[in-house]
Amino acid sequence: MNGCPSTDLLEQYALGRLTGRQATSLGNHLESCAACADRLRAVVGDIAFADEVRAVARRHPSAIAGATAGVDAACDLDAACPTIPGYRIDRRIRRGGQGTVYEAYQESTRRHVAVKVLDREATARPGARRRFEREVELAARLRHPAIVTVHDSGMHGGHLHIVMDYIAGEHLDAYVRNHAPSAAGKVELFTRIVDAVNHAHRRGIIHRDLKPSNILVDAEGHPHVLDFGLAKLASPAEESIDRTDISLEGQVLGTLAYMSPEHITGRPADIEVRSDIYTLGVLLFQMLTGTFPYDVKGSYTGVFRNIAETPPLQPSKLDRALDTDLETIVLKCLEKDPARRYATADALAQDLRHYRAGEAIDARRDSSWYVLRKTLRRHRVAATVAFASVLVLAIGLVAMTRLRADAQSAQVNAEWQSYLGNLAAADSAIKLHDPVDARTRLAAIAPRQRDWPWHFLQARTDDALAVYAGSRSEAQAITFSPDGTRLATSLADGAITVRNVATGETVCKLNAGGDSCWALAFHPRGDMLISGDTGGHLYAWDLTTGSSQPVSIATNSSIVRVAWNAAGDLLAAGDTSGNVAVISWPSQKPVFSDDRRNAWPIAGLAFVRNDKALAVAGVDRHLRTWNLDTGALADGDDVVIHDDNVADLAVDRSCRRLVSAGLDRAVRLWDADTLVPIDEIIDLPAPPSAVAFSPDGTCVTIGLYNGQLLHWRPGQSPSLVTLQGHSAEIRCVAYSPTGDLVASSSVDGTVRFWPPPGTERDVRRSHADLITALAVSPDGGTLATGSKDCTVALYDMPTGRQYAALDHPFRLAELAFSRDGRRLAAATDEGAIYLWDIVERTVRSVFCTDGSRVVGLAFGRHDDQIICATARSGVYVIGLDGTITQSREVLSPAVTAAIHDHWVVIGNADGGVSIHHLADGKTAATLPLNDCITMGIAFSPDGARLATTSSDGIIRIWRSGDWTLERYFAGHVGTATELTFNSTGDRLISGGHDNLVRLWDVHTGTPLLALAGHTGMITCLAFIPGTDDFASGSLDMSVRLWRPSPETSLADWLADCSARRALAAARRPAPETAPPFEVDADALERVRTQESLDRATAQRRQAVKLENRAWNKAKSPDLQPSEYAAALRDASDSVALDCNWITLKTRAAALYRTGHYAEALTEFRECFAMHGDCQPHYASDLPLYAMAAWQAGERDEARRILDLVKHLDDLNWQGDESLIAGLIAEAEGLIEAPAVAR
Amino acid sequence: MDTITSLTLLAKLRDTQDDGAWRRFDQRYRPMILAFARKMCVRDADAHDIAQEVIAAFISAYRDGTYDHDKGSLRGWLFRVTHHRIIDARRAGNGPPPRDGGWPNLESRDTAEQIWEAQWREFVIQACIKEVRRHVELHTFEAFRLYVLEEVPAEDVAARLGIERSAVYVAKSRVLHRMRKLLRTMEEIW
Repeated sequence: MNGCPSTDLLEQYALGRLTGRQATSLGNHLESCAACADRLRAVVGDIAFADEVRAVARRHPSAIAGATAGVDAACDLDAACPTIPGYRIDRRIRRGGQGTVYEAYQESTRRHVAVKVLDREATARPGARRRFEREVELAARLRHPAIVTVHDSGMHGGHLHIVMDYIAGEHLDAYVRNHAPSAAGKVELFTRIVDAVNHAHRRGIIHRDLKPSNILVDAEGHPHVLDFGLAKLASPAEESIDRTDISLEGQVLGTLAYMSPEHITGRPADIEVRSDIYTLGVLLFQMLTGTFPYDVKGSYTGVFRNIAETPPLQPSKLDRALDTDLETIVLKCLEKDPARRYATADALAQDLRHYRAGEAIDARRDSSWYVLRKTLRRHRVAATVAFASVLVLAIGLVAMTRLRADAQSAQVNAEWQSYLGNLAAADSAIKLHDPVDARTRLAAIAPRQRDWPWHFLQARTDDALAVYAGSRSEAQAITFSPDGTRLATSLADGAITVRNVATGETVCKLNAGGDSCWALAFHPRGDMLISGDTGGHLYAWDLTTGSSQPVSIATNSSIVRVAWNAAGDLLAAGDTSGNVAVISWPSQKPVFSDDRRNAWPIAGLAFVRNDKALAVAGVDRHLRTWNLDTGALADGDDVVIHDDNVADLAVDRSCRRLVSAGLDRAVRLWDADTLVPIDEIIDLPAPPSAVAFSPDGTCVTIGLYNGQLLHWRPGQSPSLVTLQGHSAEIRCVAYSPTGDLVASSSVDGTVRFWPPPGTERDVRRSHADLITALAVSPDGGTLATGSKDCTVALYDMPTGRQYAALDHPFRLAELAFSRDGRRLAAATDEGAIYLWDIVERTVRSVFCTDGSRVVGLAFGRHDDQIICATARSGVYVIGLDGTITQSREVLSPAVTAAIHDHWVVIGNADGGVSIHHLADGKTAATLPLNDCITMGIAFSPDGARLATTSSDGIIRIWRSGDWTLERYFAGHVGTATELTFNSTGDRLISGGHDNLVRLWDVHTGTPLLALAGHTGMITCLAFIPGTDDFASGSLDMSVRLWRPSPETSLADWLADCSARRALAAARRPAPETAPPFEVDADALERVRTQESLDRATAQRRQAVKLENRAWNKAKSPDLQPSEYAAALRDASDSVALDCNWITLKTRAAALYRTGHYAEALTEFRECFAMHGDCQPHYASDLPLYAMAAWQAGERDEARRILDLVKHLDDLNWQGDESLIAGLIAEAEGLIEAPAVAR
Repeated sequence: MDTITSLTLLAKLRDTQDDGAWRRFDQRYRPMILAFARKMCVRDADAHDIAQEVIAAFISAYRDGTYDHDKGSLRGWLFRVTHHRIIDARRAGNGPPPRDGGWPNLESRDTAEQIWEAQWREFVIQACIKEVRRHVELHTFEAFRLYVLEEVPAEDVAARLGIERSAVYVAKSRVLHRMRKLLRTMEEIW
């Protein structure tokens, strides 16, 4: 007896995996053994159940998540220290209601930070992450000395985290308890807190959870407020906090005690600025008296009632020494009715200041007698009764007037703040791709307040290049004609419109009856259009006559998809019942049909495998690839491609790859031959509804159910570009065959056209190196950009189309237009200035200065002079008649300069900023700017103000003439590099190392917008005269135009695309032959004719090439000596071709690597002298210089330099951070090792 | 605890002192309503609205005493209300089903109810997995996960976990057995 089979064997049997004999014998056994038959039934049940469980587990990985971690570490995830890339977590600071706070070290900036890792609970709800990101985005904009700055946020290991400043300090209540400050000290401390809250309120952020544990006081007694705007993240429903939540979330009673009446009674809509004011009142009460305004220790119900109803205690009852004014202020904050509290934190701060100065406080301003008493006390006037009565009258009048003025300014202020709040909210909604919310926020701004930022944001709510608004009917299928000139669109009512893409004109309207048309396809020849409708009809439309012919095909319900093969001799159609048929064309003979799977609609069709097969995606999740020769479906050719219904399928032009979209929020890329997945993108923000390949096959564009459009580059994920504009589900996406446009149709009834991936509207990428200068002609008609690639590009405004490129032999440093807009001065790194006639596009003159980089350039008032400042601190006034005067002695190297009528302002390498009279070069003043390097200087157009921006990230506004500081505001994270005023002097734009362009209101220092887009540091900025628009250039080699709504039509866009292609194909056109130069003997010597200019250009390019090759070797520490020798050869050759600070620097590095330490040191010094040694370019050179100094025996110098480079607070320099870090490490290894040994 | 019965949960909802009950109720049923609405091709934003409305409707029905468990299961009640809300949302013009005819007929109660039931079972199975995971040895669950859920061959699972091959089968049948038992119970009590 071979006995009963094992369960395993039974399972194999049940799965049909056993072979003939084994199966037969087991079958026989089962017939005779009732026990085994029962077992088999159980096994079959198990298999089915296991299948079900497996399916669920795959769809919901969270159900089994953590199981594996348990085996490996058996640890509680929440207890372990998290790992966050880029940060070293040092220790846990505290555990709070929302999460755990750790002290950490940020590797990139080398600073200590606090990282708050949120509990999963806090963000587990749908949409919580989005809300979290938005709140953090808003909070990160706050820059105030008393607000803990939020730097970063992200998600790692399923936990969201926020990175902020690390503050060592005590909680407010502990501080007051331990240090017992005087009453005045308490008020001062409290005023700072109010200022911080006011700063946030002005930016539309309400704290909602102020309490002593959210306010840290540092050793110097400065308060730091934490967690602005983050409180509501913890609350489950959008903004409401009700009783259950408070107790449930384990929030301590402490939080409850600080809440306002409207907060606890669950009127979330009422929570506003004044709720924070109330909480501030509780804080002040507690600071002054050490207790709460009412009993907060009883039951919840009791506390709720006390907050909502019980009038606060009189603070003076608790502390008799308390001033009655202060008591009035506290009680005004603690009014149960929000309308009776201070309207703004500003008003509260004002009153606290009045109180501290002994002036009348506004809280009491309703009594003239009070005002008088206060005034008398202040002035200690020994007044006679008569005098006093006069005074009463006078002061009564003054008080009345002031009351009215206050009321007016309060209203203006409130409007301004609501404007700012809405603007900030709209901005962040756009960044989070929520155009509907953004439009709502913008609509809330009153029409008269709608200025440039409003229009700019409004335009950003729709990224489409053009919109064809349809009828009220939903737009369905769209298809481009093969030549890309026409677009066919079908609407739900059955109408088919063929339009000229460029003009939008309707070429013809086709209508076959009332059936809704869902499928459209142009014949590859372009003269015929196939349409399929809900009546199951297929029509062939002759586009020359507009007539149609029915096509007979073996489908029987609504046709949802049609497809041609590339040759146009096969046509496939699929319907909602899952039938698919292929016919030959034009014979219309059936080639293939499948009507066996009469179940689910077809989601997509594509001819693949050299037209030998048809790939069919069904809503039933399957992709079946039918062999058209045999009509069969091979085993491996039926695969399940999604975990939920398939929505669409597309094929690339080569017919080798397929892309599928599924309601499981995934888009997958497949090899059409093997049906192996190549790439995928999952967890899309909404289920995808349509997909299309770009003609070159590098990009897949995805339409989503929420109306968003995404550009996805497979293999490069997650680099998604999101385009927003549609307000409802996208039905169909199509590329124009030239790849210049993407079109989408939507349920919202519109067809929208979008820029294809890689082309963004208003972004110009015509340079091959970083942009160094921008200038706009005074009429606003021409924008010029200069780059390190030695060219100047000219753009026509307002179309923004590039029309010329001007070659130079040197890297460009500065540009300036003459006032008549005809001439452009282009100054270079080597101190040469080229004067171009931009109409003729010829060089008129070349002027040479001291051979160092030009840092400031301008035309004189009458266009008869060029004024320039150089890195060697020369100020040159160059008459166009050839006279050159140098008007300033060499002091220290200049970094930047600004020139205005009578003044030249120079920012020096040592950090100072000096102002000189243009006439005689004499120093008029120096600005008190120590401890930081000024990177950007700009005059307001009228010359009345000067703005500076420095490595400390602060923007300062100075008054011309007496050069006093008018105001300053925190600008950028890290160094701010550039800034400029608009034509009225009311607005300022600045750019920084944070890659943002920021727009400011000059008069209040209020940030209006932070514009993201550049991927590198901002290097230059310019307003476009006559508009509030502006342009920015960056290290990322692109120029961006910032404007609300560029007036381009699709025709312009298409012309632009072909112009770009033509310009790229033809390379840059050489300037036409120039007439003989008029002036400057030196220049004539160097650049006699256009040919020599070209020769110099070629020579220069060769030098750059050699220099690059040499630097790539010299920068690496571990190469063979022969490699370094080659580097030295290249570097020397490049110096011979073109001796400038870059080639010199590289030769110095090569000299160091080949052991010529002393020569290296000399050469480094020479090149620093040429360029001012604080330039950011030098971050990588300094360690090499230090090593050379060490090896040459100058040990102190080596230590000094290494110390300097290690303590530069801003390592976000130009160049490769990892390279710089590597070089620093190398220098440390060399220089500090002996010191340690000693 | 996911094994708390809906009746117990409902009873606790009545106890105003037990605030956790509402939270638990929400946690358990909101995802189901959301997932169902999504399956019924409701747009995301609307799905959230619907879930919110249904939960709110239940809370008020429960507080008013108009919900009577004896007259029908909670599952049935939630289905009816959710289904109505979805149809309402559709009538309000908030997005008809994509490509008419392509998707389950929203108006048809039978289809919708089938989807709801399948959905319900899916959630219960999920809860089952989580629950069983908590109650069996880590290695047993891991063997089950690899062998059954990941479909790793038994010998590889054995090698990876350092156990006998037979132990893999034992783990599988033990976990499946527990899960089926639990599933029966939970289907009754949820």
